[in-house]
Amino acid sequence: MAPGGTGVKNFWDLLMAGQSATRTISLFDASPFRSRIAAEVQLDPDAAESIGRASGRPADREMDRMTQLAVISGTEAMADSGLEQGDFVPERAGVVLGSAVGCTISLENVYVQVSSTGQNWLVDEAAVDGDLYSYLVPSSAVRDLAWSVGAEGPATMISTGCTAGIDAVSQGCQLISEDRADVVIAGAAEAPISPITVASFDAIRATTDANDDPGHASRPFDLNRKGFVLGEGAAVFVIEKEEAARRRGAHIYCEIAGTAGRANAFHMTGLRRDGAEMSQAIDEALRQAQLAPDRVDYVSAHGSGTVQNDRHETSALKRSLGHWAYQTPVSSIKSMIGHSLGAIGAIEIAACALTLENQAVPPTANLQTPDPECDLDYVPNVARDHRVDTVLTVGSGFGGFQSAMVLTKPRGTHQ
Amino acid sequence: MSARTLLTGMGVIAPTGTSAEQHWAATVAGQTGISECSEYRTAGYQSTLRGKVPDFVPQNWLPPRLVAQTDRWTQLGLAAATDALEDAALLPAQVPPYEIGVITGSSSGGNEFGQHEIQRLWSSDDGHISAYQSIAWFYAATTGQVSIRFGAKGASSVLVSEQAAGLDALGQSRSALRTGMRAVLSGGVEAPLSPFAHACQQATGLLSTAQDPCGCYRPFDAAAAGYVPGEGGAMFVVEREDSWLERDGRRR
Repeated sequence: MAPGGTGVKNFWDLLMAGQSATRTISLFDASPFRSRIAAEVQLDPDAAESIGRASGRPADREMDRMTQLAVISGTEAMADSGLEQGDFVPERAGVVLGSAVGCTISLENVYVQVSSTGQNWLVDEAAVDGDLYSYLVPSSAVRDLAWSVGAEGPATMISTGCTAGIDAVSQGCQLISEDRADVVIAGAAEAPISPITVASFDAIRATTDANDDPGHASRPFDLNRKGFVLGEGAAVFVIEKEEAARRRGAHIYCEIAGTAGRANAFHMTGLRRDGAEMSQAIDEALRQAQLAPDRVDYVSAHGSGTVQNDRHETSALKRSLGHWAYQTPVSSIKSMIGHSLGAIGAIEIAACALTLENQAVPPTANLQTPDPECDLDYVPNVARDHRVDTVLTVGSGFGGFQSAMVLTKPRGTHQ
Repeated sequence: MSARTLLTGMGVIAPTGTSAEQHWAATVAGQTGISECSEYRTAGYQSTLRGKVPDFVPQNWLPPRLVAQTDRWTQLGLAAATDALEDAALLPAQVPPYEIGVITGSSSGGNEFGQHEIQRLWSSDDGHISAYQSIAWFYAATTGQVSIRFGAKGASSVLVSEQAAGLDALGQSRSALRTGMRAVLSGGVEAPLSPFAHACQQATGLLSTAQDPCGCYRPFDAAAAGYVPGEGGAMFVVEREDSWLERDGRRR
């Protein structure tokens, strides 16, 4: 469920065309704000309603937008996997979702209503209704997805900020490797395009103010970048043990060969230039995958389009991959679909899996004038056919979190 | 590599006290940490009781700069983590930085700070809010701040799984010790007593409407009539046995 066209095919077509889905915000009136651009998902209201019904929710209950994105993605992933209820033991089916800011749209909407538009600190409790609690606790989205797919095993939400997408899928792998589940529905969702989130990033000038050219506002690695563009969306996967997937003749997108997270213990939003901690995470993920750095055929960058991120990450790649960092293509799909905080790590994993499947790497759109300090091959503007057996994807987020994951073509299909 | 997980330090900040010792003494004495909130009473809330940490002065644990940029929830977590490290006699520098992580659990985030900034946004015209909103409200704030304060660079996580989160965090820490970490600062922390967070809980219809702080919360009792929200947290140092022995375990 990505901006610019929902569903796997539309997502991949957008990336291969190098098209940006960043626009002037339409979900609310953003005119008072410094940054007024975002990448929004075209969410079909009918689909959301039927999903709400499928989860057993009373008709008058409303799902938060993040939850809708999560449940739609999750049920699509199950359908794509070919697994049906009855094919797995419910208690051995887990659900792990990542999200950085949870049900923030609904929380803010309700707050405005029960506080007389922010006038009253002591809100009107008589005006609250039954849905509100599920907005306070975003694990409600995990519950709704679990109910929708019939999973009754381990279930949790991972909320490590902007690395939550990678970390949630990593957690799903762990449930499999520790034999706590046979199948895990894992991914991430985010719907942060709301006044409070836009104001939060305005306050620290993290988002771009290039409001006069929304289509080219997300410019990772470009000298003229001005910050990131907020996005929304979700990507959810079905993860299984290799033997089980092969036994049932599943279509296997890829193997998750290594995954690691580290923290910079430095600053909630700041990054050191050397990229040491992200590099540590990359090294550990490659060690688990038992792959040398020069086996990495493509890097899906964090590439948020802030000066400090782009330089930090470029340093980290050089530390871990050495001279090979200059040989392997690196790109940021945030240039096209924005930065959907906790969801983007999972959406980027989806792009990596499709890269392995289609043997083509997505471009970094809007890269016209490279930052001289960012001197790798960022695949500017045009997608590229490329032989890819191994992909590295990385993420970096507020709180100092740095995550890396290595994905490989399924065994027996390497070129 | 030893797979044993040891709990080697604890810090507790609870309605029953601002140290593990006070908490335990009050608990075994059967003392309640529940009291009435006059603010809720004034507002006409149906449920006016809550378990609030009395006399929590974050400045006793944290520099003013850190207090200013954090919600009460994160302050409770930082204080408990400080005490846990002291109790474990663990200086983070004794462990290689990439081998000590932070894993916390909660059901919600920086509620009071978040409400304050949403209120500020909607009650003024300029759209300006605190520069700290983006790092204080979100669910990763506590893990991130604990990691920074104590220099923990290892595998870290944030589990948001409602009332199971504290246990989930410790379970995840055990997994982290089995996959390369020597020590993890871990536990569960929550601060859900600000008015909007309270209203969210009121919406469930599950809050006790009892008036008497002493007899209001009655688990397993035939007269059980709902829960009383509380705040606080416990943070632990969990360590791999071999690492603990190597560090200073043999002295004990």
